[in-house]
Amino acid sequence: MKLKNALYIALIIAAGSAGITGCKKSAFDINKNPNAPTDSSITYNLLLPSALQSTSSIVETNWTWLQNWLGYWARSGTYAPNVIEETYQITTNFATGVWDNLYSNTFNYDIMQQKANQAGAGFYEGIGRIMKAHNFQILVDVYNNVPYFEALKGNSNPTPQYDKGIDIYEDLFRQIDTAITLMDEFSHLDAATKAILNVDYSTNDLVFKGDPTLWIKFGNTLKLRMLVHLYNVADFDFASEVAKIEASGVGYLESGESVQINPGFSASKPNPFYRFYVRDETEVATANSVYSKANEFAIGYYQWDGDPRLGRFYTAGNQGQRGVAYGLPPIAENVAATLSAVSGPGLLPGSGNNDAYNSRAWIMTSVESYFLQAEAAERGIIAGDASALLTTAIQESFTWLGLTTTDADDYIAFNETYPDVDYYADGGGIPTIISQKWFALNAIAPFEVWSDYRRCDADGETHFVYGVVGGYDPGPPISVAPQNTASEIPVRLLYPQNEYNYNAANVAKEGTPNQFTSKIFWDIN
Amino acid sequence: MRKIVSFLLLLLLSASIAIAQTRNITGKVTETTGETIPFASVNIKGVKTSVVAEADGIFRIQAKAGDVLVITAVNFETKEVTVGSESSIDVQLTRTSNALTDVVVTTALGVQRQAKSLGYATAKVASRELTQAKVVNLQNGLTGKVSGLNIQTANNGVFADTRITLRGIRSLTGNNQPMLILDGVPLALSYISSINPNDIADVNILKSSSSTAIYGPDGVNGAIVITTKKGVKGKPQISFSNTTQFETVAFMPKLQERFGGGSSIDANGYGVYDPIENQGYGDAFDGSLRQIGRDAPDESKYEVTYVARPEEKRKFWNTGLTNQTDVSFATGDFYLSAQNVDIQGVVPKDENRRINVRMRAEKEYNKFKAAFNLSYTNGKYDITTQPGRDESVYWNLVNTPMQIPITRFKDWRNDYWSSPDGYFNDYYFNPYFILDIYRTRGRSDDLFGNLELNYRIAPWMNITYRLGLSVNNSTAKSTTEAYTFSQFAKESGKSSAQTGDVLAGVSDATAFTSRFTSEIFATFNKKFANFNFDLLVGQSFREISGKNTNISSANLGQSQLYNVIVRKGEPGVAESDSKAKLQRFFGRFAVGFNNWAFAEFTGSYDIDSRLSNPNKPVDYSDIGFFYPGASLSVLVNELIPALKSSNTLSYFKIRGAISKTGNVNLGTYSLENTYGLATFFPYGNLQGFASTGTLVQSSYNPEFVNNKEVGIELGFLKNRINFEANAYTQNNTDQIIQVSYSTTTGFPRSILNAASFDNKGLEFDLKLTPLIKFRDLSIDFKVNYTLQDSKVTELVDGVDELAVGNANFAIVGQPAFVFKLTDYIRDDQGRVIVDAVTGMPSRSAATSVFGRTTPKHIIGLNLNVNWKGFAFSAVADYRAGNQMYSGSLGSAMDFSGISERSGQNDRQAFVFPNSVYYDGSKYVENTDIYTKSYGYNFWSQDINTGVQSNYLSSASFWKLRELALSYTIPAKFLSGGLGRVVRGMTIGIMGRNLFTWLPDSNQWTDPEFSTSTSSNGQGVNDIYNTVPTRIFGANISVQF
Repeated sequence: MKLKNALYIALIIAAGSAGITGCKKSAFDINKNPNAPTDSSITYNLLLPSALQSTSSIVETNWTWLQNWLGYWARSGTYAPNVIEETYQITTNFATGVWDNLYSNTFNYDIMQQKANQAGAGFYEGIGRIMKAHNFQILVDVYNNVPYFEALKGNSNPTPQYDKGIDIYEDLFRQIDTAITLMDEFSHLDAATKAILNVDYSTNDLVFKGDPTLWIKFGNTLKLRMLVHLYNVADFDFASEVAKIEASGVGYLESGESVQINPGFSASKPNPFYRFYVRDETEVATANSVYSKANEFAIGYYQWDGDPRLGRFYTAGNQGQRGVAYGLPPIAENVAATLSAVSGPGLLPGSGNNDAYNSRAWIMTSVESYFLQAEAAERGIIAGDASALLTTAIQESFTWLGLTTTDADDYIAFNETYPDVDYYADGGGIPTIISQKWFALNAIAPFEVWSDYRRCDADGETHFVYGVVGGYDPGPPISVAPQNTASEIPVRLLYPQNEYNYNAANVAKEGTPNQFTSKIFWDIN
Repeated sequence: MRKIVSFLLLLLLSASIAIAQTRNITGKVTETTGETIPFASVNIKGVKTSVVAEADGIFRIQAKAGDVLVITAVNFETKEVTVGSESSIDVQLTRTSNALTDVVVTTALGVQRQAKSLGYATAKVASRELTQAKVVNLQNGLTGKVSGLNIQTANNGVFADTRITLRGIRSLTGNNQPMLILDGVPLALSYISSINPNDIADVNILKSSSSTAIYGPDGVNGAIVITTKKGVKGKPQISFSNTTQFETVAFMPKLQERFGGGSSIDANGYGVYDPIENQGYGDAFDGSLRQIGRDAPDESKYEVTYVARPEEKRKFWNTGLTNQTDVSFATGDFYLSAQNVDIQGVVPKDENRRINVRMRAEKEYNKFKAAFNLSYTNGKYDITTQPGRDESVYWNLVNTPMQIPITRFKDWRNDYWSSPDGYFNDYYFNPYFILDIYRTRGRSDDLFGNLELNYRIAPWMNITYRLGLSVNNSTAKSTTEAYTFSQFAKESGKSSAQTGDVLAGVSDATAFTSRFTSEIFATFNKKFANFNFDLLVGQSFREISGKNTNISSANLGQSQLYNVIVRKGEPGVAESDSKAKLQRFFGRFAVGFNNWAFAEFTGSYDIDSRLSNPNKPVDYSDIGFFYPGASLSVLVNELIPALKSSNTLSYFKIRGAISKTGNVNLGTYSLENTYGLATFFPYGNLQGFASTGTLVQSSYNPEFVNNKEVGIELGFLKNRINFEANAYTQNNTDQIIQVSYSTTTGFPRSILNAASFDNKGLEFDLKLTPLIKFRDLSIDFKVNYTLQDSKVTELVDGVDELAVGNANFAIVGQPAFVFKLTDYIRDDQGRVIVDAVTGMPSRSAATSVFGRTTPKHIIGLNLNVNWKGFAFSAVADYRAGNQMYSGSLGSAMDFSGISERSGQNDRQAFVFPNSVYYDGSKYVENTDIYTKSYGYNFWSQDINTGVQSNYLSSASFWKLRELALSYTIPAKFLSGGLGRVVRGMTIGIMGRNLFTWLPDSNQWTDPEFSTSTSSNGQGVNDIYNTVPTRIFGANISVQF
């Protein structure tokens, strides 16, 4: 009886186990994610479009503070002062999105590059390397030493060391070299092989629709941007880098070859700049559309020169084209509606602001390419006619903004002998190139214009626009905030608070950076 | 009420009266405290007739007038009652107070065991103690009553969120809440809110993983074992009770009462009044008439006297009202109960309603027993959504300067000055407007059923099978009502009118979860000579699956129809599924010797699907793990003959336990990095995904909790004095933790498998039952003290600190957790260094370590007084040793200038307190360098609000947690027929959280508040919490 009972129990337990779970190993094979792509299922082609969109969003929208510092924009009288920004007394909590967004965007390119490499998709891998170089170059220009060689490695290195800006720059040249080799290899494949090895390359490459030559040109232009920044770094080997660029045989981005994307922006999926500074995806005006308005500094300059680009960068408010001084305490006369909007039709072309949500989003423009070439030629870094390149740059700026080359020529002629426009005027040359770059890249590449400000010293003065123009000299666009005691614009951002929280030992080795005195490595003057 | 009256009448009519020579006499055996005594023997003196009362104390006996009934029960003094003419005799017995030896505890798997045989700490809370203050939620009724149990009310409002931990934490970032076992069936802890406290017979708290070894990972944080009331045979017993409670604001953050609206200072350093400001940095109040807001279209102005109106901030909150009605019906082996709770919160317009019906039935047929339990809970709520800070009610109330009579602006739909167009505040919305336009209406349906089959194969062998299923379906619809500013408001320059148009929006979420459990186990019990052997073997299986879907649109234009069907653009859609399985095999072997020594050994082998790598074939060595446990209990008073007959020491037990328990603190699908749909993708056919930023590993080890505990239990003077002490350490290894990373790694978050920490504590419980007994008066007093400490011993290689969120850090050598916050730059004596010229302090970028985030000391005091029909109870508790961080609320109040802090020094230049400056060679105490910035330019700015340590304060408090007074009306007072129908009636009044004592440093809120109940980043409150409240009310209950 006892034995029988024991058997009976054993049977029940066994039956219970078997009946309920099947008691098979496969019953536990239920941990595959049904909700999202994972490392094993994601493919490089699905990562590229979103990464490019994210880069354009960073370039277009993460720099409001800098647009203000550079004299383009200012806070409208509708808003209370942002004292930290307007007195330049920034903290480790200031503009941390620049750091976080660039690193996280770069990480997506890095994963894409690895996936593409594994799959033999050289075209995608090349794009990954170029875009990573683009992002890291900006990071160095904003923060100087940043984690690079040990960065983006997840658990292999949870606390990456900081690398020297110059070492990062050096490596970025090599990364672009590799990218150019990959693009070159790709260009020699036949159409079918291209498509097999690089899935969806012509649709998912939102920038150049699968054209490797244009990517090589972008790579060369990025190199040129870095070379120009490095100009004052004494022991840099410019000749060999320039030789490599020339060896590629395709030169730099030319007219109409801007790095820009339009995946199909629409009212409910708007262009990032539009979404941030005009209306959001629900078509409601954003806070930034009220906060950020024209700076009287920039408006004054464009008006003084009779520059038609004024109406392309800004949209007039209810009192015509009007700006406000940066840092001015809010007063009723300066409420948002009375000031020019920063979302001009040149930046957001379309048949009116309401259609501008579908405008292309830029990453790097052909305009900047010509300015870089002009400066490089002027400084003897590359061969070329600086004056002619500058004229092309101004023309390209006009056409990119929806004006004509004739408009550009008229503008140049109208400002003859003004050194901010006329290369041959007294005091012209480099100052003209840098001034014109400031005029042309309003809202488009503030970080690049900031670099110009920091590395180019015009007669020891901190001016953006060099040369007094027929007596017009508003001085540098320093904040007029009553609490402001600084007479200069910061030369860098501080490392974000999260680095002090989560990578404390490494960031501590960088000392205590000061926003006025701790310069970027190429800022030697 | 009318329904209740007719119900009573019906009962009255149906009551029959029958008197005979020898007649049926019914009665109930209770304690003097009113608590039921089960299974008492009732004899007629001199006759052999004898019956045994039921579990609810009811007995039935045939007797005639003049017979003497002798009522006996274990642990009670025998009582004799002479039968008169009555048909019902209720008997109260006095406890002999030697009960400890025979206390029965419901342990894991619903197995009843004698307390004396347990080698680990448990605590029992009886139904009466739980419900003395008529709590709506069980967890509130447990607060302060058991050592080691920390129940924290994380927020007030209609859900009364609580966080429950037993003996501190065992996981740095995962689940730390105990498991819930309802009538033997494990359930999600959240189900505790769905249980009607009046259905509960008792609650046993199993404090450690040793006591729940049989449950493995689910029981690693201890368990709350709830046994519900069962039916009694014979005459149906019906009970009815109603409780009404009011909830009012207990206290407000400390406010300044000297300055009104403004956000700038004039040339002389005084605040400048601004009628449209959200900030309160204007000039000092002077009682003059001032305009607030802009002119109306007809050029009229709204003016108020310029005085502080702090009471308006308090009056904004409603008096909450909770109405709870319970009805139960019990007979034989059948129990049916229903409960209705209506809650109106302190946040205006917030409502929550809960209906619960539960049925339990069981049948015994020879050796076979079957029980069935079914419960249904329906909850419906309607609350403010608070989608973001700017749409949160509290934020908008905080951003209302002190002169504003805010409660005047309720009628925003009809009154121009209250409407967004005319509301004074140029930057933020009227909080009453927020309350109306952002609403979430939700519903939750919980169905829980379990079946238990038991077969007694032999007197020494039992087999039990349990099947449990709980299903929850919830839906929530969040709506946003459209609002468009008038052209006038837009053109007037009103700031919020420029961007503040609100489009109609909707978000519809549906969630389904089901939890299926099945367990089968056999028990064997044999006695050989002086040994008693107990063996249990079994296996269990659990599957939890869920599905969440959400469809939304933020743009329904001006629609009044809240459905995505009328959207513009594309809808937002999301769907996620989850499924996890756990298979367990477990055994327990217990030996008792001579009724004074008890040893127990346990072992478990678990297989958990969440550890399975989806890219590899299933391997039991990855997903299966074994762990053992052992415990010992010795009754010293039985062992030592001298003590056996002692009158002083009546109970003396020592015990110890050691066990290891595996736990998997990991969500489903956590072994591969995931990629989310990027914003706005897809564009047509163009897909785009991006890393979610959370880094996971391809394999994880289970965490192990190594629990060691010893305890001593003493009973003196026939157990009038009971003392219990426990000491424990829990070594928690291989912690699966989510940590914050530098974004330079590519991942802001990472889930890791490497950290260890020790958690240790002492617990003391002293019970004086009774403390005083004099005739009908008895006073019981209980006090418990818990000391909890922890220390992080090891973190992932090469790292000595990890951020776990909410400014909580795990740092090697420090308690888990400590705050790390930004602070002023200080000298080595801790004095703030100010600039020698400007007198201004500066903020350090590096963060500093501050105190622990969870209490180190917890004291609970319980007092019960009974006199005749009166019962009075009071519970107070104390928590201390930790800090709280009110950065969200504190900095918002400083920014807006309504805080007491922001009114310091008359808003003039001041010498920064406890500061020094550098004189070129050393730091010198600063007595005369005044701050360059002050008023608005100091208090609302980053130099103040960006210094997180400004908002850190002691989190200690004393709370008068419960106060209750009730009176039970004796049946004889109920005249005539009523007395025959109504067996008892109790009326009572109660209050909860009536008084809270806080240190001066805490200027903000209730230290118990937290941003979340589940996260381990504790001690941090936020702007989404409501205000601290107190609750008081009255209750009536009637038994038929």
